[in-house]
Amino acid sequence: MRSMVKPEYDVVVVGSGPAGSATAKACAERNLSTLVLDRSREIGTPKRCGEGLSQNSVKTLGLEMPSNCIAQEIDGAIVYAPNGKRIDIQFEGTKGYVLERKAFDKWLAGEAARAGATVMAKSEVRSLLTEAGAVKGVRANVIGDEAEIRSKVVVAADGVESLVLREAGLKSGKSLQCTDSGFQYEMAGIGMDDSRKIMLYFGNRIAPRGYVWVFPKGKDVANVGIGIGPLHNTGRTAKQYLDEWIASRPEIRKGSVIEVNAGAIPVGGFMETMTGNGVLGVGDAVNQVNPIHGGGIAESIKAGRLAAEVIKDAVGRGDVSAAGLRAYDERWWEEHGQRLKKVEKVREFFEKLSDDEMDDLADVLSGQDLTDLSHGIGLAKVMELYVKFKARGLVRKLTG
Amino acid sequence: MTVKVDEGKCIGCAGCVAICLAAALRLDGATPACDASKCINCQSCVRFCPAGALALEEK
Repeated sequence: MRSMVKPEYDVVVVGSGPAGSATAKACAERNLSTLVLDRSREIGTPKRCGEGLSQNSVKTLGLEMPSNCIAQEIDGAIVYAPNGKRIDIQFEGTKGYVLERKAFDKWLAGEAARAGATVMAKSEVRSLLTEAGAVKGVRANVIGDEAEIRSKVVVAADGVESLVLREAGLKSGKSLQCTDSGFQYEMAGIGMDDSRKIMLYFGNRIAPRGYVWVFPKGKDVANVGIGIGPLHNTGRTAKQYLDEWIASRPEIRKGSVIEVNAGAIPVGGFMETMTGNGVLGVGDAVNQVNPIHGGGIAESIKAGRLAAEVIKDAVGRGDVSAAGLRAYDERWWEEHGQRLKKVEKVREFFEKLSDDEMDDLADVLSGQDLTDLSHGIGLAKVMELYVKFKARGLVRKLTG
Repeated sequence: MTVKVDEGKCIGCAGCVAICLAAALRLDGATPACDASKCINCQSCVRFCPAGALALEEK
């Protein structure tokens, strides 16, 4: 397929997940010649995702999402405390979706192509072309043919394990402190409380630092998954925790497994520097994920658009050095990083809670409080409510 | 040291590649492969692996 790929582009995007496709689409719309290389044979597979996305996030795309991308419309969430007490969150005026990522990712890749980018599946980047400490393109296997492709900027949208950022010297491994270990079954033939609600189950015995999720993809089909902090000391894996939870739920246990997924979920550790000479990172590669719920699609899309604006400016000025791309770091931190840092603080608060404390909180928190917390808002209010709750208990004990 | 992969358990999620502090792991097709000369025996990949597919062993 050499005939489809030119020897040189303004931008080579590595990875065609939401981050890569959003970046590529926005670059192509700015008349930058853009190539997207994705190592998978089929874009959107294998998924490493629970597939939940809010309607507001879809709006950030500024596009009408085709119906085949939606497995199930969602109108709320049910959060279960360790003792089983539930908090209902009704989505007001806005819906959510559980996606079919395979269709969603292909659709977004197609949107990038329609905007003028060239997208190539089964095209794995082997290494970076570098000259005098600057990234100048990639060496890749493009559907079986080895190729050297030069570019002014290489965008690392190649996921948690980003080879591009490593090769560019922008990062070493992700820290265990800021990465959850995820495992998921897509299951069919299961029973659910409400197939229009996403369900989240908290508790240190269920999922240390994380939660079990059930995201419906139809009446009796759902992604049943878990994310846990890998630094717990029980010696048990995410899969073992999930298997144990499923074993305790007859309505889930009776079902079948139609797909198995796993992955690393960034839950913090935002990077000060996501740019180098001729290179920048977007999406999971640079931990652009909400640290409370672990969702990354919305953040990726926003960052991708920002990246394209900065790249367009830098290419226009003829300065794609680290200094020329620095505006991406600065603007991302200003527009998104400060907010996500607050969400990370909320996550750090919650991971210190015992199961008893979580049960207590379930008595005082409303669905709206939980929604606010997932946006990094209201931690002080939660602490105040909790202190009042404990004080009332103490007063009852002393006077009772 | 090197990382032994139980291919029956590995999902190929590349989480271990993301976690590896020494850049010793790399996805080789569907499963990770370890460059023993780089492995620093930190156990991060073993602790991380959601599927329990990894173990360290003497090269």
